[in-house]
This record gives sequence, C-alpha cells and structure tokens, in this order.
Amino acid sequence: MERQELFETLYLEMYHKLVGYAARGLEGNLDLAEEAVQDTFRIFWVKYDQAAASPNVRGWIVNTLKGEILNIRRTRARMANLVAQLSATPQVVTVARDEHGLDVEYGDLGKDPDYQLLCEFALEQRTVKELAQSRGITIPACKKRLERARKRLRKYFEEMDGSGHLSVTSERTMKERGS
Amino acid sequence: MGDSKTTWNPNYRCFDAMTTEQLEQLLRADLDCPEVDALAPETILYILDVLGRRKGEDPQGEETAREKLAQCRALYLPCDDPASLYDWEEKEASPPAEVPRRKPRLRVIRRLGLVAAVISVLFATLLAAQAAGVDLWGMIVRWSDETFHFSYQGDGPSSSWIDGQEELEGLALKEYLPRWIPKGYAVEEIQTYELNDQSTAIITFSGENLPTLYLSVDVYEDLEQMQHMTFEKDDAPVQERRLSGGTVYFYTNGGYEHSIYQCQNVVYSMSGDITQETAIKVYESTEGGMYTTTHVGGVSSIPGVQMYSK
Repeated sequence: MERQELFETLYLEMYHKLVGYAARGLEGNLDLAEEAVQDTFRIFWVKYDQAAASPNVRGWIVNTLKGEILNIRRTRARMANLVAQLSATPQVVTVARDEHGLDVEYGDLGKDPDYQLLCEFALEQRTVKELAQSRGITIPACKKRLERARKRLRKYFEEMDGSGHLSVTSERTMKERGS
Repeated sequence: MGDSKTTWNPNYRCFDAMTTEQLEQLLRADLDCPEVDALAPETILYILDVLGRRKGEDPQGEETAREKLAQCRALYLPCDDPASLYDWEEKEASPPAEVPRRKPRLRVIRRLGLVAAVISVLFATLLAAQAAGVDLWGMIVRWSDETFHFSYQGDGPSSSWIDGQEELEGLALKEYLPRWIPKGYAVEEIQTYELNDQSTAIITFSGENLPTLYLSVDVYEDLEQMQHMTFEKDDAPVQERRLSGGTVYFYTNGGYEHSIYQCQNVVYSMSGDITQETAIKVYESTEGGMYTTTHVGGVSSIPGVQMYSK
C-alpha cells in the first residue's frame, strides 16, 4: 500500500479511538488529546519507513502516542514550574549577555512576549496549534519559539539569585555605571 | 508490512466482561506503569474497541475524522522534525523500531486487584441457562452445523511440556492439562488465577516459524458458574466433533479460528492457526479425552455454554 493511502487508512480507522485514549491520559483535555494524536500521525509520516517496516504498524502508532502523552505531561509540568518560579522572582531592569552573545534586556517579565508564550502554554493549557494560530505562525515555528523562550527565561532565572540582584555582572552594566 | 489484526488472543475475552469503569481505570493506570508492566498495544486497541462498541457509532464520526485529517495535512505534516512537538529536551522521543508481538500484560490486572472482579463479572452477569426440567449436562443450544467424518491417528501423549513449569506447581488444575502439544511448540508464558469456585490457566505456546497457540483451561467447582460462559462467534456455522469425554466445537470469530472442548466441569478453549485434527489431538490428551472420535450430526449441545453470533 502506498504511503499516502496507508496514512489515510490508518488515520481514519484509528483517529477517534486514539483521541479517546489520549484524553484519558490528559485529564480529559480534548484539545490536547487531539494535538497528541495529530502529532503522533505527523511522526508516523516523518518516520514512515521505520513504521512501515515494523511487524505491527498499529502497535507502533499506539506506542508513539503513549510517548507523546508522557511528553506532554512532562513538558507542561516543567514549564509550569519554570513560570511559577519566574513569577515569584523579583524583577530588575538589567542587562546581560545571552548565549548568542547579544545583549538582552530583562525588564518587566509580564510584558515579555516569550514569557507570555510560556504562560499561555503552561498555565492556560493551550496547544501548540492554538499558540501558532494566535500568533500567525506555523506550528514548527511555534515550537522553535517555545524552545527558545524556555532557554532564554531559564537563563534569566539562573542569573538571578533570588534577591533581585544579578549574580554575574556584565561588561555593559559596569560601563554604564561608570565602573 | 505486519499488522496487529493478524493475531488474536483468547485472553481478550475477559475485557469484554469488564465494566466500562474498570476498562477506563485500566487504561489510565497503564500510562503510569513501568514499561515492563505496561499493556501491549494490541491489548490497548482491543480495550478501545470494546469501549467504542459500547458507546455506539457516531454518525458524524467519519466526517469529523476526515476534517481532522485535512487539518493534520495542512498544519502538522509540514513540520518534518522527527521529534515530538512536546519533546524539548536533549533526545527525541521515539517509539521502538519494531513492536514485538506481545502477549497481553495481564499483570496490570493483577496489580489493580481486578482478577476476581474480571472472572466473577464474566460469569455472573451473562444469560442464565433455561434449566427448568432440563439436566445441566443436557442444555441445548441450537445452530446450523455441518457433519463430517474424522478418524484419529497420531503419536502417543507426552506431558513433558508441563515438567518444570513453576507456575503450575501445586495447582490442582495441573492434572486437567493436556499431555500432548503439537511438535515444535514450547511454553512461552503461563498465567493462572484461582478463585473460590474456579481455577484458570492461560498458556501461550510458541515455536520457531510456527503461529502462536493459546490454550485456556477453566476448572469449575461450581457447575452453576460454568453455565454462564459465553463465547462470541461470527455467522459461520459451528462445527462439532464428539470425543468420548465431551464435544469439541470449532468456530470462527473475526476471521480467527477457535475451538472449545468441555468435559464435565472443565472447559478448554484454544486459538491459533492449527488444524482441527491437531486441536482434537490436544483435547484427547486431557483427562477426559480417550483417543476416539465419532461422527457427529444433527443438533448439538455444549452443556452449560452458550454461543452467540455478533
């Protein structure tokens, strides 16, 4: 059976069953469950050769979905923790260097677009598809933005020692202060 | 390309008798289990099928699925990253390259303490036999059948497959197990359950380049419990062969071959790609079988057991 044909056949056969299964693992959240299934079939498409070579294609898909559900749970929990920690950290206006060597100004996190993105993802339970559509970007672009937001804000948090003071002084900050 | 639909396991019938809540609990618990104790994907799909049948068909189902398929193609497929959208860590989350054909992981059922509930629900809620004025062994189920002639020839029995099986040590039902299994097969797994009035052994046999063979043996202390057994079949006619100890019934369900042999208070069922002659030989090597067969015709019975078509 051709790739397209098999993809469509299995999708139509398994979609509702798999959404029901995913919803049970994601506390009844149907939007997340649907995204889990959509991403599962996306991975099936990307890894078609591997899946098609499997002695049990449907089993391969079920196992992929299981992994997806666990990924969703784990990632959301971690992001929720990160956001909660950031929210509890006093914010200061300062300047530091990020991993790309560019000066990044950390100001009011509440207005930071990356922070907002993570909040919507972690605390409002929005799917990657919803976040992408609300920002007018593609799903892969949204995933990249989420990853970048996580890295950036984690670095922000690591550089704060909890007291609102930057633990590592940047050159630019020292120059501006005339040190 | 392989497909889980080419295999079937008679152990799955226990899921048909579980309540919806029990099945839901099983699925939820499975996601929190260590992988070694997790349900096989075939088992998960079977449970989902059971739940889906109970829920009933959604008239909009196919249309909805097609809409979602269109969305999948438009929004998700353009992302060619093999990792999950939610995998932001170091390594990508990927399924095993090959999903081995596994037995259903009924250890999860044990862990949930559902074994007693499974067996009791299976036999306590099915249709009762019309027993008024009819001997228990003489209960009749009528269906169209075909007659045929069978003569047995074969090797003598060998109970060597039972030797050394720790799961069977000390169990009373060990004496009811067949002494002969087809050449080339060995025990792959044994699962046993014991209730007050019933003992069950589910044995998986496998062999190199041979289709997997499943045998279930139920020994009843309470004959009234036995009469509630129900086996699902499709519309194909049931074939029968009478042994001196009882009758063997051959039937199909969903394209798979099954057989049942009832001898007094013991019910054997087998599933696997084996001939009727081979199945007969297995049954004849049990305590109730005596290596002779007779021609069978007319209306047949399986005392205490009902069969219904889907």
